[in-house]
Amino acid sequence: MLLGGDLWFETFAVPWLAGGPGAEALLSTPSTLMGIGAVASYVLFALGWVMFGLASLRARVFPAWISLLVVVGGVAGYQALLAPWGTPLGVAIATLGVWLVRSASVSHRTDERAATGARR
Amino acid sequence: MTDSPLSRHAGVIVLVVGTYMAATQVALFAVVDVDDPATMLADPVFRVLNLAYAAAFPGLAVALSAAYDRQARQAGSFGLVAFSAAMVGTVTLGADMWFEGFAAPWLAEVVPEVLTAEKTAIWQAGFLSSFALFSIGWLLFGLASLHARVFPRLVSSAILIGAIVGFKAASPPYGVALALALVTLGVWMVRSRTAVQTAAEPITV
Repeated sequence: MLLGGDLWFETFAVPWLAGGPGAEALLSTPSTLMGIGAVASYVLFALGWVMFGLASLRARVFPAWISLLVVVGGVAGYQALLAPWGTPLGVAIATLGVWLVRSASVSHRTDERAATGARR
Repeated sequence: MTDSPLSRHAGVIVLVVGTYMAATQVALFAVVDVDDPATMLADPVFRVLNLAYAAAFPGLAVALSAAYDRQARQAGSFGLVAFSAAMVGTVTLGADMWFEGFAAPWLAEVVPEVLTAEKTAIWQAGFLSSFALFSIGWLLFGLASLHARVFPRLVSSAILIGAIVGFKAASPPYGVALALALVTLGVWMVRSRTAVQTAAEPITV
């Protein structure tokens, strides 16, 4: 969410500032508070996703290579505000999505077969 | 009811987040001065409280997930849509609060004229969409809760009221209504879980 805040600033506030009264602010050195906000956003985003990837590896529910992809995406995501650094995490999430959809349909078919067998 | 760690601690999570959100909003309300925003933004107490309130939003996202987990099955597809909308609104308003907490004091210091400058369309779109998405998302979540009939009607109605008032949740004290609704929900969740556990315990003679 913190990185989302940073991106909100880049999307809505920076164009307004650049085109109007705040152009000089964008060229000045950010205050300590602003610096803390930016760095904390990058660190927490990367750390959060790395921890989620590690927890997934430990839980052994998702395939290990997908969990590793999430960890790698988390590390690269430290710079996710700058293209193309958000791509690895995006690819990891898309891969996880494909796996979740496939495993859900396999599980659904298995349940259906079990129910049909029970009726016979 | 699933027995994931999130489900086990859902009541406490919702209760703590609601209490924290209410406390920071009330504290912020005590120091806010809309007539003199430049002085207010330079005040270290206001800055700390503003950041503390911004920090409530990631917690609010977790509390929302915990509350949804309790009623997910009964809320059905509408519940999923409502949960997603409330999550989008919480993230968007949380992002806005990041700006208020970290960027606004810096801008007020470097270019104080931004406080009175005319706001462009993209700027207004950012603000208004954050307020609207937050309010609509929680409104839908309240409606889904009423429909699911897992939480008491009174609590679901309190979420609805909190969502409507929450259109202005970025300005204190308008976030208090939703925070109090979450406190009430948290208390109910803790109590109902304790009651279920007590009933499930084997009777020993």
